[in-house]
Amino acid sequence: STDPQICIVGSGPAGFGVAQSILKHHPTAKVDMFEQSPVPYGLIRRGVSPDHQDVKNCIHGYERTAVLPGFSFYGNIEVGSALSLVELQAAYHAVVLCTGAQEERKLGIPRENLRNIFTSLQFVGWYNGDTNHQDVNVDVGGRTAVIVGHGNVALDCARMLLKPTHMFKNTDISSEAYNKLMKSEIKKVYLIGRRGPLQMACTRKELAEITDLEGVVTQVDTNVFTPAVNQAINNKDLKRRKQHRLVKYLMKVANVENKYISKEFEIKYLRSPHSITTNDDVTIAGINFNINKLEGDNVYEPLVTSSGELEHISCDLLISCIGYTNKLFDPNIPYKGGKMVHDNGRIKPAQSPGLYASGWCRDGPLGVLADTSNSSTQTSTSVLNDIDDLITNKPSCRGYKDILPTLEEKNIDVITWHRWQTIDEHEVNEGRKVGKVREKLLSEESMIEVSK
Amino acid sequence: MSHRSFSVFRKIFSEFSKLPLRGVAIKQQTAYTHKSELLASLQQVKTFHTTPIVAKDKITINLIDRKGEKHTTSANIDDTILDVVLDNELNFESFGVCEGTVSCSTCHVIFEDGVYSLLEEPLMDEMDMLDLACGLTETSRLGCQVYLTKEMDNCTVTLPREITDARDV
Repeated sequence: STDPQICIVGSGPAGFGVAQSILKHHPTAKVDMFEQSPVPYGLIRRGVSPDHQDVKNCIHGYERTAVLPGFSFYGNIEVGSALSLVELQAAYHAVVLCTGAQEERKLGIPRENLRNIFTSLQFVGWYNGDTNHQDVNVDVGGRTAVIVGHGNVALDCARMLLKPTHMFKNTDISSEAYNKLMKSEIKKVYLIGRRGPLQMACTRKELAEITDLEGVVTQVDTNVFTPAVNQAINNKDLKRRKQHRLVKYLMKVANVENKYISKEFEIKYLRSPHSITTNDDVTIAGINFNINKLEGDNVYEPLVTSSGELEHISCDLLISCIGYTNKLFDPNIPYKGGKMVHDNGRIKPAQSPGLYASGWCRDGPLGVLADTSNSSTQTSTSVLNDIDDLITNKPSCRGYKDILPTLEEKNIDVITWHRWQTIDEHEVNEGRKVGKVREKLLSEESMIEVSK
Repeated sequence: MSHRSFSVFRKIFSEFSKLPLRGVAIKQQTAYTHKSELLASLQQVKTFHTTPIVAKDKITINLIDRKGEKHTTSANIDDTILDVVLDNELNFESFGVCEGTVSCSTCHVIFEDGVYSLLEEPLMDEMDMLDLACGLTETSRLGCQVYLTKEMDNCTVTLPREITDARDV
């Protein structure tokens, strides 16, 4: 057959973006999507906060793509172990990697492996029912939590600890996490970053979702609003508007007197993690921070230098939200500065034509859905431009037919789209019984069992 | 009554009066709590709509897509730009993916100066999403938040250009 055989690795927004675009422009294309988990949607399922259900509306578009005749989903197949990239490239005219940025970034400081210290991947995975992170034992019996990082993920984690837990009741939060958070004793949450307010990566909206909470007081040391910062935020620069609106908002809500304080939210700046402290060599007692100074003429991108002084903050729980890094999918894929080396989504080296990438695995873990959409549109345009040549060069590619013997030999229980729909229906029905939008299954075994 | 507050009123009214509401996404509110209901509705109409469908006065709106192609459409007054895109089945790539709930910036459109000045100021939540839009301009808005008026007849609304340059090669 001379119809294009295209394979997408990963079923998050990048993968579905590429699938959507290819099937729209090439009606006879065959698009096969491989996913290592039994269930699709990547970070839309595992990353987006339970109280941000509207963000998940993009799934409706993915569902419309998934039922198109040219599309197939093959879940529970890990590319890299069950199938190699070489095997995929031999079977398909084009292989598009949409595997995301899956590696957690660690703080890299002494005693990081003590109890009740988590990365955002673990903590978010835990409350979002990610099957890979159900074994973490989060203890919310203490009074103080420190969150390292000033991005939206840091704010998601802070919100889980500050927002009344009953407000998550109807969401798709994991029941385990919900029950534990209902008993939370956390009364103070620090959000600590190494630079200043103009360098915060979060959005005003995410910040407001915490500062608007009743009974939560937001504390900021106003010394960080230097004259230079005050001057900068009044510049009418569209590219900096997000930052200016954020800082202006922060100035408005910081340290507002509040009669009924139930929880404290303190944002600290100019602090880099130095070392974990402990009283018993088992559990965290606190964390030392290096106090930084911002120098240089550029108020937006200052030089960060250490003052040499330390500050200790006592805490019972530590979550580091300092971003993800790209997992090196294959040692032959060239990376530079955390991004894949590519030409409009075509992965160099040139000796492997037909290899593409899109989304966070290509561009690094930055940006929102719209950025990933752009990335996917760009990559699928390249695939469509190249596809005739690729078919000419590899006329014998038969797609999934070529892969099937390997999967059968390895006895892999492939989750098709139909089987995922069974899991989906089960989760929605289980949720309905307890008034939730969805009750997620928490193990791959239970997902596979339900889908039979 | 301002145009926006009228729209809000009409939406609330339609909730109770069972006007033929085709869609799911109403600002700050998702009308369907369960996906099965949503899917059932999608199977019937294959799309959603942010405003109720009633017979209305028509105007002409020109939409320029991400590749620079112009689409001239007939549109209902009081509909949103997102509604126009859906009703005319323009099928713009990755447009309006959060279905009008102001949770993404994919329905970002750019207005002509003269028309932009006619529009009401964006609300805080729209500003938040616009901050994240790719290729933000002084006359950028979210298509799901702009309701058409008579004065907008024959105006041209442009989607940000598709990014085709190689980044960080």
